[in-house]
Amino acid sequence: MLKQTGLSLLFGALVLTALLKFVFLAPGTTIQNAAPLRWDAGVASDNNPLVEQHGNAATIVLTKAGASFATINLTSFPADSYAFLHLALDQSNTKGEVMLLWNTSESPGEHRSYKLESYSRKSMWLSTRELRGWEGEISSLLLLVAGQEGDTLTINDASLFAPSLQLQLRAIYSDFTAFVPWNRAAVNAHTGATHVSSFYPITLIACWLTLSLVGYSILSVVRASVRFDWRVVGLIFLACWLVVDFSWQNRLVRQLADTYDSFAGKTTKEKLTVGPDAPLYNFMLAVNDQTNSAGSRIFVSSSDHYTGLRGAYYLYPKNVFWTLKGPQVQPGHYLRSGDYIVLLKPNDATIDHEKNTLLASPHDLQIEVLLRDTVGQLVRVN
Amino acid sequence: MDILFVTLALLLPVLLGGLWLNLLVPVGFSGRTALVWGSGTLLGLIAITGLMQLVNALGQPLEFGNIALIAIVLSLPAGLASFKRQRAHKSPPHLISSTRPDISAGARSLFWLMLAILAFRAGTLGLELFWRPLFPWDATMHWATKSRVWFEHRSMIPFATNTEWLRAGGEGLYTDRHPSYPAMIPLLQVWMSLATDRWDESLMNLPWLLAYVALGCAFFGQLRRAGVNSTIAIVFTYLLLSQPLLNTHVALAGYADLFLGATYCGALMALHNWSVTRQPWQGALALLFAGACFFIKNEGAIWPLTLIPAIAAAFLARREAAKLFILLCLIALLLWLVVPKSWIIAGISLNQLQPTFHPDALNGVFVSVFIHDSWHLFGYMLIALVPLSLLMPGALTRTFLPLTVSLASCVGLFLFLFLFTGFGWGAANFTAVGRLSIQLVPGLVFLAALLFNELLNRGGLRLPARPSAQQDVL
Repeated sequence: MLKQTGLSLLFGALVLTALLKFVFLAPGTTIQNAAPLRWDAGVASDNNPLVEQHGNAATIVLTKAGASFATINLTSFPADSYAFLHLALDQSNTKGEVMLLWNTSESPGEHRSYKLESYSRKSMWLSTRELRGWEGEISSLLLLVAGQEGDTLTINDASLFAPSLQLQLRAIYSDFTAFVPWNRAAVNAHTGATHVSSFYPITLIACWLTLSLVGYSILSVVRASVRFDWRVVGLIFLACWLVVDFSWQNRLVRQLADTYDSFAGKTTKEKLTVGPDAPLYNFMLAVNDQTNSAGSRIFVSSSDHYTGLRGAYYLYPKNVFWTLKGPQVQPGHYLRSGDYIVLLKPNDATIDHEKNTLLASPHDLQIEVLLRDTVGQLVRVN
Repeated sequence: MDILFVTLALLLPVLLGGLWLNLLVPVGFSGRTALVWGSGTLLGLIAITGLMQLVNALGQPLEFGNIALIAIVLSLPAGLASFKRQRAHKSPPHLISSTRPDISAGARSLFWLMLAILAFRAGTLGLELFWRPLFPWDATMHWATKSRVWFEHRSMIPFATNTEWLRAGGEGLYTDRHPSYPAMIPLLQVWMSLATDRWDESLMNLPWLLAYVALGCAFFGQLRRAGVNSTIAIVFTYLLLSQPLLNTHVALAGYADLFLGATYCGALMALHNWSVTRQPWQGALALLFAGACFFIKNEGAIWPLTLIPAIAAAFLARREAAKLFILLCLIALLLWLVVPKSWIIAGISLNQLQPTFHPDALNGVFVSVFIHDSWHLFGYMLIALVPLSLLMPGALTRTFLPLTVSLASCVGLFLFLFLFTGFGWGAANFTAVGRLSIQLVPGLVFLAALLFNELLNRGGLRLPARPSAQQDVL
C-alpha cells in the first residue's frame, strides 16, 4: 500500500511539474530567456550616504526615525521579461516596514509600491507578475525601509530573473515556507498566500492530489497485480494534507518565536506597551490617569473603527461609550459637565484651541484640553 | 500560587462535567475515556458559567472561592460514585484496542504519528495563547468588555445598547457593541481572572485551549463509539484539529465560534450514535449539547433546530419524515410572510434577512472553502465523499440519515444566510463566512469520517457488507 501511495504521489508530482512548465510558464515575453539582472551593492551605495557597502551587501542605516531607501536597479527593463525577484535581506536590526518601490517609463511620476508581507526575508522569491502595477518598462527599482533611529536593513541580494521552471519551483517553495505574522484578519480567514505568491497553495496541492489519484487509478488498471484499494486513496489524501499542514505548522512555529520575542515573561500591561497597539495603549494609560473622578463618563471617538473600539476597550472597566455607527461627537444634550471625550486620530472632530470649544451639534461645547498627543486628544466638557 | 489556582480553575470544569458524564456513560467500549472526558470538559466549561450566573442571580459576589466550592460539592457525589464503579470494573481504558492481535505495525505507527502531531500542535497553540495578550477585533469589541467590567465589580453589571445608555445617562449601566450577547464567553474569562485575582489577558483565554483538546477527545471517542477503528478515528481527529482557522481561534482566543462549533458537533455526534444504538445516554448528551448552544452565541439558537428534522428522520419512516420536513418548511415560509419584519430573532432583525441574491457572496463562499487555506483540503474531501456516498446504496438515506438531514439543513441555512440575505457582505469580504464555518466544520468532518469508514467497510461502492469486527489494519 505504501509503495502504491508513493508511486501515485510521485506520478502526480511529475505531471504537476510538467503542467507548471508548459501551461503556466511563459510565453509572451518580449525578450526570451533574458539574462538575470544581478544585484550590485555598488549601485545601491553610490551617491547615497545612508547606504554602507560591505562586499556585495548594502546596509541601509536610519540615522533618524523615518524612511530611507536603496536603489536596486538603474537600467530600464521590460517588466514581463523578469518574472521573479529574489530578495535576501537581513532584518534583524529593524522591525520597521520594508517596501519595494518602482516607476515605469510610461508613468514616470507615478510611484508604485508593494509592502513586503513575509518575514522570511533571508531568501524570498517574489512573483513579479502578481505585483499590481508591474508592467510596461520599469525605469527604477528601489527598496525602502521605514523605522526608528538606528534601525538597519542589509540587502544581500536583490536580483531579477526571467521565468524558468526551476525558479518557479523555488518561488513555490518560498511561498510555502513564508511567514506572515498574525494580522487583524487572521481570525476571519487564512489565505495561505501573500500578494506576490504565484499560486494559492491549496489549489496546487489539490491539483497534486487529483493527479496522484489519477495516477493510482491508471496503476490499478494497467497493473493486474494492483487491486484498487480505498485505503490507498485515503493515504494519498493524507499525504497531501500533511504537506500543506507542514507549511501551516511551520508558520505557527515561526509565529511562536515572534510572539516569544515580543511578549514572553511580561505582565499584561508590559505586553500591551510593546504590542501592535503600543502607541494607542500608552496614550490610553495617560487618559486613564486623567479620568479618575468618580462617576465619570468617557466618550471615545475616532473615524477609524479599529482605533476607536480598541481605545475604548483599554478604558474599561470605566464607564466608556464608543459607537460603531453614529456621530463621532455625541449631540450636546447627551453630554454634561465633567464628561471626558477622547478624540483619537483620525478624527473629523474640530477643536478651536483658542476658544477652547469643540464643534458639536446643536451647539459647540466648552471644553478643557487635558492631553494632546500624536495619537489623539483628551478633553473635558466644562 | 498562580499556577495552582489556574490549574484548579481549569480542572474544576473538567471534573464537574467529566465525573457526571462518567456516571451516565456505560463502561466497556473503546474510546469511552476520550468521549467522557472530552464531552464532559465541554459541558463542564458551560456549567461553570451557569453556576456563576446562578451565584450572581442570588445576589452574591462572583468569587473564585464560593464558585469553586459549589463546583467541588457538585462534583463530589459523582466522584465517589465513579470511584466505586471503577473498583467494581477493573479493566483499564484503552486508546487502541489491545485485545486484537491483528493491529498492524503500520496502523499503530500512523496512530502514534497523528497523536504526536496533535500534541505538538496543541503545544504550539497553547504557548501562543499563553504569551500573547488579547488580540482579535470582536474579542475586544463585545466579549472582553463585559469580562473586564464583571471581573472588576465581581458582578454581572447590565450592558445596554448605545441608545439606552445615552438615555439613561450611563447610570448603573455599561454599553458596548453587542450588549445582548450571551454571557458564557465573558464569564469564562472572568472565571480565570477570579482564580488569579488579576486581569491577565493571556491566562484568561486558557479555556480555549481546553475546549480545543476536549473537542478532539470527544470527536475521537464518538467516532470509536460509532464503530470506526482507532487509526481512522485518530486520522480524522487530526484532520479536524489541524485546520488553520480552527487553530487560529485557539491561538488568537476570545471568540465564541470554537465553543459553538464544538458544542454543536457534540450534539450531532451524540444524535447520530443515539439514532443507531438508541442508548438513552447518547440522547441525553445530544439534548444537553443542543441546549448548551443557546448559551454561547446568538447563532446557537438556530443550529440546534436542525436536530428536529434529524430526530423526525430517526423515528419516522423516511416518507413520513420527508412530509413532516416539507410541512415544517411551509410553516416557516408562512411565518416568514406574516411575521413583522421588525422582529428580532437570535439577535438578527428579520429586515436583514430579506431574500436578495448576492452573486459576489457565492464567489466568497467558494473562495473561502476551495481557494483559501482556512480548511486545508477539507472542501475537496467533501466534494469527493458526498458523490461517492450517493453511489453507496443507503449510506446517506438510511445509515446516516439523521446526521445527513441535520447537516444538510445546516448547510442550507448557511448558504441562504450568505447568498440570499444582507449578510452576503460577510462572505464577499471574508469577514464572517470563515467564522460561521467553524461552527459547522466539526460536524461535517464527523460525517466525512463515517462515510469514509463506510466506504472501507463495504470494500467499495456496493451494497453494505454484513457487520463485522473492526480491523485496525493498513
